[in-house]
This record gives sequence, C-alpha cells and structure tokens, in this order.
Amino acid sequence: MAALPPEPLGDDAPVFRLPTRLSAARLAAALGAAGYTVLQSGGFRRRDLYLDTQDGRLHRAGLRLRRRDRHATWQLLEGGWVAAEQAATGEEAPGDGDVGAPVAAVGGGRRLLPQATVHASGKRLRLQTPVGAEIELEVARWTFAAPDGGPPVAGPRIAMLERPSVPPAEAQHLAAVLRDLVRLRRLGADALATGLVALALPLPGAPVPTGLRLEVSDTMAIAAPKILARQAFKMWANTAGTIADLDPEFLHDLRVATRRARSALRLLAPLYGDERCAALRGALGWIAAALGAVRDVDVHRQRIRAELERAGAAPGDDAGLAAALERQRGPALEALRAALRSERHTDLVEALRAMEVAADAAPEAVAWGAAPAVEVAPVLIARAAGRIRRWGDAIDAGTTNTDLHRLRILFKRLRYTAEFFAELFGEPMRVAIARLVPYQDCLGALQDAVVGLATLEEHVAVRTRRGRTRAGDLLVLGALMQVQREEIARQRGALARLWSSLPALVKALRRATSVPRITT
Amino acid sequence: MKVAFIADVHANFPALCTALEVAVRAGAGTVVAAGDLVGSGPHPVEVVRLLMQRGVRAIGGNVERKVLELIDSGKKLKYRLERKRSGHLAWAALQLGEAERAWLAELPDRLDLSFAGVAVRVVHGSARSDEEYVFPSVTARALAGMAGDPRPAVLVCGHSHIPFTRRVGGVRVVNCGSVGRPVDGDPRGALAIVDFGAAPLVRATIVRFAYPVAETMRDLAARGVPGAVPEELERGVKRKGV
Repeated sequence: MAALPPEPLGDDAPVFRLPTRLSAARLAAALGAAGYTVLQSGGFRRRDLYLDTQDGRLHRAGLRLRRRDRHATWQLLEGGWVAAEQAATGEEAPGDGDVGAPVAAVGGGRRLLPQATVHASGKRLRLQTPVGAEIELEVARWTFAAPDGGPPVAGPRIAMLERPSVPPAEAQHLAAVLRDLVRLRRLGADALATGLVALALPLPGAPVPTGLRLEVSDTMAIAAPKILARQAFKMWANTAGTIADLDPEFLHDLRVATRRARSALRLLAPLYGDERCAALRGALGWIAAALGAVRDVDVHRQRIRAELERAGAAPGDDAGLAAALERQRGPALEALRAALRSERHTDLVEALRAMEVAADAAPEAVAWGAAPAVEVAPVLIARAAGRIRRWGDAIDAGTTNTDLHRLRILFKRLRYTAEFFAELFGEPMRVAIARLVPYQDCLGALQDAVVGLATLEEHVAVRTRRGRTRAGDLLVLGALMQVQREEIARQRGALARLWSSLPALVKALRRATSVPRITT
Repeated sequence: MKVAFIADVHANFPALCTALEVAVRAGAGTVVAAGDLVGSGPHPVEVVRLLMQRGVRAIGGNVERKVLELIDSGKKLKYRLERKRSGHLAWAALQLGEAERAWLAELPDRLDLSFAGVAVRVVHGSARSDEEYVFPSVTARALAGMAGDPRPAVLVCGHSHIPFTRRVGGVRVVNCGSVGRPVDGDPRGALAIVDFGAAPLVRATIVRFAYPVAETMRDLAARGVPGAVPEELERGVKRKGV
C-alpha cells in the first residue's frame, strides 16, 4: 500500500531539491551572482534518528524530534527549523530542558518511538551573505532507513539551511534566492516525511490520506470504497508496530480499524452483496480474535496495578497474576504475529483497500450506490440509533452482562456509522459523536470488569488444579474479584443514569444529519 | 546594442529574477530600472540586494520617496502598519536594512543616458513628477511638458503599469509597464527591450513574461504584508488606482 503524500512544510521551509547536474561548486557560483561568498567548504556525514509518539502527537503539532548523532544532541524542529536543542544524555528521550519540556507537554507522557533514520552526506558551505552575516548551507544526499532495520533507501539530493542560530531575515533571503534566482524547487516535505514515503511507511500517527475524505457530492458508490480504504489504511499502518510490539496502542488501533471495517461491511452490504461482505467479515473476525486475545491481556495488565491497590494488596503481592498474564500473552502474541505476517492478512487488507462494486451488481445495488451519501447516511445513523433504543427499552435490573455487551456493540456500530460520514455534517456531528463517548466508556468499563472477573476465575481454577493455592494469594485474588464485581455494579448504575439522556442524544444525531456541511 | 528597461518591480522577487533572465535571453547587456522597486510586494530586501549586486542603474519612484520619507520622519513605523493605504510602505521600511536604505536614498529621480549616441531620459512618472502618468493615449502637446528639457530622443517611464511604446511628437515613448504588479488584466510581468543597434533608428519591444506568481502570492500571505490582496497578482488587476 502506498504511503501518504508528505505533509507540506511551512512556506519558509529551508529544504530544496537539487538537480543532479547542479554540483555544490556550481551552486556556490550561482549564489555568488547574488552576492554570496563561500567562506569555507567541507564534507560532512550525519545520522538523525526521528522519534514521535505512537499517535503522532508531535507530527500533529507541527513538531519534529530528532537525535543527532554527530553532536549527540536532541533537536526539536518547528516548520522545518531547529527551534531548540540540548545535549543528549540518555538513549530513550530528551530530559527536561530546551527540548524535553515542549516534547513532554505535547507528547503527554507517551513513549517516544523511532520513526526513521535519515543519513545525510555531502558538503557544507559556510556562506557570507551580501550584508556580511554568516549562514550555513548543506548540499547533501539523504538515505533513509526504517526503524526495524531493512535495506536503506536512497533519497533525493537536497540543499538545506541548517544552522540553528541563523538570523531569520538572512535565512529568508537565501531561501528566496535559492527558489527564485537559482530556480530550485522546494521539497515540500522534511527529511522524515520524505523518508517515510520512500520507505513506504505511514507518517507518525498514520493520519488518513486526504484523498479518502468524503465529499458532500459523493454518492454511496464513491463514499463506500473510501470508508473501507480508510480502515484498510489504518490496519496497514498499525500492522508493523503491532508485530514489533513497540506500544500496545498499535494493537489497539489495529483492532479498532478491524472492528470498523467489519461494521462498515455490514453497513455497505447492499452495495457489495451479502456474500462478499460476509466472506470479508469472516476473515476480519479471524484477525479480530487474534487481536482480542492479546488486547484483553493488555487491558488487564494495565488495570491490575490500580486494582491491586484498590483491593488493599501489599506492594508487590499480585498472587502471581502478572506472571500468569505474561505467560498468557506470549503465545497469544506469537499467534497474532503469525496471522499478521500471513498472506491471508495481506490479501484481506488489499481487498478492503480496493473494494470496487461488482460489474454484475444487482440493479438494487446499483441504485443504492447512485444515491447521495448525504441522503443515505441519516437513514443508516437513525437505523443504528433505533436499534439501541429498542434494546434499551428492554433493559432492567435482571438484564445479563452478556446482553449489556450486546448493547455495547450496538453503541459501537452507531458511533462507527456516525464517524464514517462525520465529514459530511461538520461540527454538529462531531458534538453529537462526543455525546456518545460516556455510554461507550461506561459499557467498556463494564465489559472490562466482566472479562477481568472471568480471567481471575480462570487463574484461580488453574492454580487450584495445580495445587498452588497459598492462602495469601487466594485472599488477594478474592479481593480483586470483589473489585471487579463492585465495578460491574457501579457501571450498571451509571448506565441507568445515562440512559435518561439517550433521547437527547438521538435528537442531536438527527439534527446533525439534517444539513450537510463541508468540514474545514 | 540592446538595453532592458524595467519598472515597478514592487518587491516581487520571483518576477524580477524572471525579468532579468528574459533580458539576458533577449541579448540585453544592460538593465535600467525606472523606479518603484519596493512597496506592495513581499520581497523588498531581496529585490534591492539583487539590483545592488547586479549593478543595475536605477532611479527612485514615488514609492521609494514615500518609504524614505517615512524612515526620515522619525515616526514609529510599527504604528503605521495599521494604516490602510500606507501600511505596506511602513512594512517595507521595517524590512530594509541600513545597506538597502542607503542604496535607495542614493537613487536619482531621473537618469539622462546615451546609448549609441541616442539620448535617453529615464523617469518614473514623467520628467515633471514621479506621480504623473504617461498613458498610451498621450498627445504630442501633453508630452512636451512630460518629457522635460532638453527633449530626449527616447523617454522611458513606468508608474502607470500599462506597457506601451509609441512615437509621439518626435519622441520614442517607452512605458515599461510593471515587472511585479501588472494591472492591465494580463498577470504576466512586462519589460521593454530597446535596440539601439541601428541608431538613430530605435526599435523598442514590450516583452511579457510569466513568472511563478504563486510563490509571490504565498509570500505575501506568509510574510504578512499589510493590505495585500494576493489574488490581484493572479488576475493582473488592481481594485483602486495605481
């Protein structure tokens, strides 16, 4: 799958593509005609490791973080320029200081993950500007390497202003001279974005390509492939991170994309046909099961520390639960990796990426495809909301947790349906979707507690079978099970209170879909 | 010999670079600039430095005069940025460094040159005023005052942003148009190539050239030039008088 087109840099971004015929010496001569003098020229070689959080928070904020090997420094870039730097002391992340503080503020404590390595080698020209200031220009070739190794990929030749302390007016002047007088073309993307495209990797946080955004004029036949391709893109973008097990959120995002794809196929069956959608949903179910086996353990691992505290367990006393979960996770992760590396998974993602309407589609399917998405979406959203109301009316104190899990799935479907078409309806739809979140949080916490309780019961059963039943452990496990039961009761109570505002939510969704708006 | 006459660059660096390339390709060994080099556009420093570096002979236009008056008046330029009509002049004044200001201050308001024995007068508006327009409809009687004394064989001017060349009352009038801010509905830049090779016969040609207008439009927005309407460049028009 092709990566995203690179994000454009700021208008003053100092990176230019250099034609092969233009050597450093010829470039220096061209700059001489604009009043620049070369004070010094020398070769250089450098390696920059770029980092970002799993969800690309720095990228979204227009920032880049890189570790520069030559001087062992951390550099924070904004709009292509070095905004701050500090000496590197550790390997993982910059500490407090010029770089560490803004990264921590934007990154929100999320782990920084390597995105790509950019090697640059070439010549560095120290130039005197027409008014006597000094500025450094690098004439180099980039080579890119993926974080997991693999063969390096050659990048473009570039001319780039590098020096962090360059006077802004002089940098602006040199950039204008390079662009207008020497006629160099701006690269339009920085080293990381260019490298990720060359390496066929997604940008940090895997933002959805703009080409997959819905337009108000889209018919269902145009909107449907976009909706599915978005999920395919997210699945593709999170597969490598899940296999490498760098951050549990890769697995979570992959699982969400898988669920959304299944939901979308259910929704779009009138266009693609029941049989075709059922086959793909079956394949997605296979991946979803493998993902769920690991994710459930991850969720339990994340919750266990707080729950042990709540249960009053002594520090470090977890009744062997952490080790058991670790043992459970290992084989589940291996099975998942095997599934994700399989041809079946690759074919599945590819099939979702390019879902064309069959040439021999039934007349009803063709008619459904010709309908404008802005007219079909309100019907689909109202239908999903109607199912929830019907289910909800039957809820009482005797409703089982299994039924509430079914209700949770219905809420997910409603949210996914609303999100598939959200761009068509602008801000009111975003607000309405936000009102769905408390229901999902409540039902999600309830289900996590149900799964947690089942896991604990299984753990106790296994230990009992093996004769490893220390009284202290049983007390801890019993207390943990009680925490789960209390959580289940608490969330059921919360759901009952939330339910009273459901009609208002349904009304907000209906209002949001009444007028299509282009999202800006 | 061929001479390129340019005017009204209005701080449009991509247009100036293209104009200089066009002049070289046309075989012009000399370039003369007829004022309004800065103002309105986003690249006053780039334009002045390039003209300085290339040793282009230039005169000042009404915009240079106003920018220098603003600088000399000692008024706080930052407060004048808000002014609707003159904000761009204050902005240009703030961008220019000492070297660029000094170069502009040295510019004469007219040049009397001789190419292959032909007397050429270069003015911005007219010989009387840098704010007087010489339009294509100019009559011989009107031109008598505009060309100044002694009457030149060739009068080169700008200011109106409407390029033309015409023989009027025995004077070859060459209005170079505008390099960086055309207003005649053609968004391409304009310059004049005058061939003195067969003197006393003078052959003048107006050359229109396309330049990367999008870059200038982007910089107008990015650099925050007060009162700028980037779309005007794309359409080659101006809402109000030049």
